[in-house]
Amino acid sequence: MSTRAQIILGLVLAGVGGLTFAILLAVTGFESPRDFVDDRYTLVASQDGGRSKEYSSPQPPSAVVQTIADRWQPADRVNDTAGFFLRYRDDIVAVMSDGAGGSRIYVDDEEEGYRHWYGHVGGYWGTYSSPAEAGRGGGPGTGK
Amino acid sequence: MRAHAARAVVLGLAVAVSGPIGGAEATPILDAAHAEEVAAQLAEATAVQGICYGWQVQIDDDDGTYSGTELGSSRGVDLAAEHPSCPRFIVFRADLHYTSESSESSDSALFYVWANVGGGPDDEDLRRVGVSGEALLGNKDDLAIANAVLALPALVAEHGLAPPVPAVGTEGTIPAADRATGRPGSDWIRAYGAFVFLSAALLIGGLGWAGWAWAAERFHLGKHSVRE
Repeated sequence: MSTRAQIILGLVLAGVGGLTFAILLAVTGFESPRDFVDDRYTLVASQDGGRSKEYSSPQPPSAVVQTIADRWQPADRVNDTAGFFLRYRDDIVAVMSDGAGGSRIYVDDEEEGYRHWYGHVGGYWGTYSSPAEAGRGGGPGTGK
Repeated sequence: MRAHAARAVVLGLAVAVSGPIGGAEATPILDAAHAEEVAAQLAEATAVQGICYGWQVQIDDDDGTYSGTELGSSRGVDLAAEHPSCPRFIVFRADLHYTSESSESSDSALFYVWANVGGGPDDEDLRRVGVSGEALLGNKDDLAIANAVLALPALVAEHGLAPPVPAVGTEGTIPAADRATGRPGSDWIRAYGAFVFLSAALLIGGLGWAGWAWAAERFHLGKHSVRE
């Protein structure tokens, strides 16, 4: 292959790579798990200026949590007897039954989510020193 | 117990095979404190739903470091859910096989739901909530087992067999010293890391190739002139 052809092919490959990255960034760069939940499910309540939001879905919790986790892979997850918890960089998403076949979905920022679901994720995603207050039987004590 | 076992059915079957991950287990997977906590949470679910829950994990280690069965239930650690005091039970069962370091075979995990309750959750339900053979063989295998067995009451509620276990949201504050730790990395990179890597490889590789070809032409790299 001639030098000229190699240079052109190299630049074409670099262009494809750069274009792919630019399109990816433009299309998805400003999305987040919080946005995905907001787009897909029905907002029920919003508190603290939007730090905490509650949504509803007619789908059962396992289907909802699968949809969210398939689209936005969580950094960590905790399954609990009451529901399912997904951890992201800035948010904690909790999915549980609404008692009528559907789901309630809670999206909180990290600080509020850890406080809100302390009895469920405490000790797994942070420090945990008060099982009595949280209503959880025992606990691993510190983060795992 | 035998009468219950005879009526029990296997609800789905999942087999996963992955490459060797970290070698054989040297100790039981769920430590005592964690197992106690899981059993306590199961007991709370049993009180609400009237169904006993449990786990039974068979571990086979070809290196012989640790092999045996770990089990527990709403009745306590090392106690099976299949018991006359539990007319209805649902148990997460897994068989984990760790091959020897010298073996070319991969470690493997098989898991399923063992129950005498019809219409309950199966392994496909567990997969939807993140349970996988890879997780059971991974570095957080203790959490994977806990996630599997603790999901059962929520899944039972989904199937309409019992009321859901109520979630306990914190009212007020938590201890001042307690907070989330180990903040995760970028969600975007986690979701699109493969695309980012591919586009970066194309960009860098393409520029490198073009640059090398240009330099080779310009400076006669790789060509040797010999003067007599």
